[in-house]
Amino acid sequence: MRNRKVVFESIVLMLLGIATIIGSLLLDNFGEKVLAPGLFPSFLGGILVFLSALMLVRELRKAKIDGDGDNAKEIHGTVTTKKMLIRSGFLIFATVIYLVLLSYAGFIIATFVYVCSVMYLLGERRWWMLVLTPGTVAFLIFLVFEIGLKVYLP
Amino acid sequence: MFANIFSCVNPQFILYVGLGSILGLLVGALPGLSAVTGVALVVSISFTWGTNQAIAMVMGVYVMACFAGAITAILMNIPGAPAAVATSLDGYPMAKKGQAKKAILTAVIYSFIGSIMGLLALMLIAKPMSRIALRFSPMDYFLLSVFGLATVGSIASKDFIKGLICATLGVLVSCVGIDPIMGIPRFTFGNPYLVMGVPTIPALIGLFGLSEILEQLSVDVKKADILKIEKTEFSLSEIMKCWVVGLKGSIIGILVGILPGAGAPVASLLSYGNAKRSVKNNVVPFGEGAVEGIAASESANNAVIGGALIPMLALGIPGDSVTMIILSVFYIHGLIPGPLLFTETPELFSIIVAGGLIGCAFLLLLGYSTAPILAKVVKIQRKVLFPVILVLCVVGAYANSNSLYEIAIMIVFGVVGYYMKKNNYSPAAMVLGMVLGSLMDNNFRRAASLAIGTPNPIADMFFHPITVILMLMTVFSLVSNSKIVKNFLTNLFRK
Amino acid sequence: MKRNITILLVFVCLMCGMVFAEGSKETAEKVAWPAKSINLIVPWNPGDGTDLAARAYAQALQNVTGKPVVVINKPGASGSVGTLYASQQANDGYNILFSAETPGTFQIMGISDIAFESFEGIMMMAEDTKVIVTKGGSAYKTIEDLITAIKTNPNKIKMAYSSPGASGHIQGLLFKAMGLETSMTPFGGGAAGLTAVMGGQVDFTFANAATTLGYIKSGDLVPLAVFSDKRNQAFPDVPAFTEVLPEAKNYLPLGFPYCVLVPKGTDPLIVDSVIAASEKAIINPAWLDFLSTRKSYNTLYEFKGDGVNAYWKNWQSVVNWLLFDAGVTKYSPQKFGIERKK
Repeated sequence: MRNRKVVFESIVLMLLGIATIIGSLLLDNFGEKVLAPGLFPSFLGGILVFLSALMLVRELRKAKIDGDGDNAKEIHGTVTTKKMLIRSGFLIFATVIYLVLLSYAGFIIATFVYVCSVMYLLGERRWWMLVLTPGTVAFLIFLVFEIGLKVYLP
Repeated sequence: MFANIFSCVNPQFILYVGLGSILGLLVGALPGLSAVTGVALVVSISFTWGTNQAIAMVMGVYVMACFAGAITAILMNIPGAPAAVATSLDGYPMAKKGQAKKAILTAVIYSFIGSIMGLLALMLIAKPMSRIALRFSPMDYFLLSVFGLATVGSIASKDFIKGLICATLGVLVSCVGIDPIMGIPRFTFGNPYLVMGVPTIPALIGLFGLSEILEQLSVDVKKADILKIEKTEFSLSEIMKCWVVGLKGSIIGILVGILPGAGAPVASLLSYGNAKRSVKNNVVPFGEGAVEGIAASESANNAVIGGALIPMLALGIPGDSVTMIILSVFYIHGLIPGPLLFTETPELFSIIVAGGLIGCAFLLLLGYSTAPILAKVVKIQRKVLFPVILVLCVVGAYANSNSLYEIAIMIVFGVVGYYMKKNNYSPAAMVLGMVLGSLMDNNFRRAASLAIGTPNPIADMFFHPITVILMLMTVFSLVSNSKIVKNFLTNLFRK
Repeated sequence: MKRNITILLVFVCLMCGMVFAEGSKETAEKVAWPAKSINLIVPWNPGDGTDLAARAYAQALQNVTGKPVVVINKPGASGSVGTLYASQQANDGYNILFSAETPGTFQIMGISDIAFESFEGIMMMAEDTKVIVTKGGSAYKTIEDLITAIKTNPNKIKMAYSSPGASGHIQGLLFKAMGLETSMTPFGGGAAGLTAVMGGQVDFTFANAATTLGYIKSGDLVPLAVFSDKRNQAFPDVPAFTEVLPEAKNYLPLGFPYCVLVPKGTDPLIVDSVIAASEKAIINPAWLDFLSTRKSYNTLYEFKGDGVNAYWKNWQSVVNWLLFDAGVTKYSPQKFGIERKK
């Protein structure tokens, strides 16, 4: 059994390479030969097509050699359950919200809310930890960046 | 010369270097901030000081910040700067095994060795070495980058083809934005943000930091709540035994440092690749927590300091972005960097070397005293530690250029990095592709443009001594890693 | 799962609350400029001609305002990367652009849509003299040697320039218009171009005089000619280009001055404060020392505020048409409403 994911990835990468070549050729070359902006990316596209073709061929040949080889799963990534994916998804979602919140609420408040919620998501239930940690973190980072390093936070 | 160096040292001078070191530790360890941030800060506050104090503090920051990128690379798998990517390859596995303290101490000691070697080179052979910077043609810069990427493809990933694919993708990402030569936007799809290009530092933080947290979350939180710390003590001789690697790394670091633009990421990578190829008697394999890996990477990226200062002081050409800012310190204090700096103001040279050497002493001191405390970070419960790291990732991405867009980039690359890690692709190769991309693009087109006017373009492009050597090295690195050749050689050997 | 949704809801509610609470807090604070550190954006590399002048100005501005002036280098694509960046920054007077002449040619050279119109003028600063330099010990001892070599090997003699549309490129194109065809390669900045000359990658370059002084003194570079119609006090023995090639008088002298700008739409009161501070900066020792140690600069302080934009309009109507007539531009200046100077 060949690994469908790798075959799929190779094809996607190959299409990306072809798209890059086309995109580079469409760029205005200003009548320049070697200084044209599209020259280098079109080479990259070519390399990408070549490499993904290699990967595809390797995967297809592998399928022939170990006909029912079930070690494919071991090599290509670990098993991920739905629950884990959901948790990661929530984390990303929370980070995106944090990004939005930063521009409206300012750094300290946004960070407090964010750290507090992520800690809750990860299973922290002690209320004093949920209040103390975010407060300290927000304050300390603010202190170090804004006052110590003169890096201005939103 | 030594007398000159000691003559400018006084308690106040040492104090300024010390303060600089503490600042360097901070900016180096925080993701998104780097030596550049620290040195720029010193420049902005030092305009009323004397030249000596300003340079003392700058050197303290520079030496310390180059090392401190390793701390987060080891403890959290978030390299503080692209130069520490190679350190994370072995440093983080060591921390996972509970050897965080040993890993940090290795980084401290080899950063120290690297810095000292670099400064010695600066002191003793700066004049003749500076000419190397001039000898490198655009084609050579291009090949050096290709060689670097071929190396990272082979070391950072178990799968060579996937490693190369990631490096290519990284270079492709770096092409997004305004073309550095002709000035037209490439692959921006009309998006005004993409016109300025995809920033490397936020991408780095996303690919390593955020993706690491995401990956850790997919392991059950309760089962592996905290990382254990190994109780067994280790002896210093265990760390010192890879001194050969450190010495080689220092030489690579100095040589690469001299070349303007190549810098610490390339040096640490080449040194790591070299160590992986040449060290055979290592106890732990590379990539799973070998001390040799940390020694190679750290000695090289710190030796770059001395290397990068050579063309700056001897020719007025900055070797990396930190030396560019150091140049501005000179301007502020009325000094004109250039070929005459050495002869006209020799005392300035002594101040820089003295500041660097004292910075090394502080590196050893601060590193040694903070390593046990820092190593305890991994003991913090993950439900407390992770949110803090996440905030640092976000702030680090933002601090790069004060824009929320960069946080968005960080998140996108976090997701990409998570997918890559799950499927054996190499985020390290991608980051280095992004770092080296524009260097490759510019120099490739420059080389072609230079060659096209000559009667024999191919000969003009390739037949120079440095170019031929670099080309052979690149081809060797690519060929020796491909499976077909490996199989062929083993078969040949069997018969 | 259920718990997760609860968190999410709380999060969203909190966010909405913040938006409403903070919306009314936005108040425009009127403070005297400058109240904090100032960013000086330089669209060229450290060590390039523009950067040298910008750093001297930054130091002088810092001395007169008492606030840190942080130089930010945003090089790339003939300065268009940094110029675009500057135009996108807040127009509060804390983001100042120190520009070379390149925005005046972006449009006709097809490099960028951005131009001087995207900025408010503060002050014209100074222009540097351009010199033709070659490597110390090279085969070209005089400018005549170089001209002969170019004429006998058209398109073979290598020249470095910073980037398309920048002064070095324009001068190379003028060479072409005078029948001197060279092989031109962009190195991204003046300093990188000098390194290429010293490393022997190219035969010569047009450099800003200020960046070459140290190297000329050390013998790494040799000046062949001043690219102007008269000699310069910094190199009294070096001939002016028109002495050797009189037909160059059609094109020379050609000035490439630096200027200080702020993004379009900056409060006129703030613009006035920046102009006032710059007026003090140009008589500050930091700036004066910079000029006097190099000797090769001409100053143009009389153009201030709207005068800067007027200066560039005039410059464009001369230089853009000059370039167009020489057949080296992508587009006609007419297309952008630039009238030919009568």
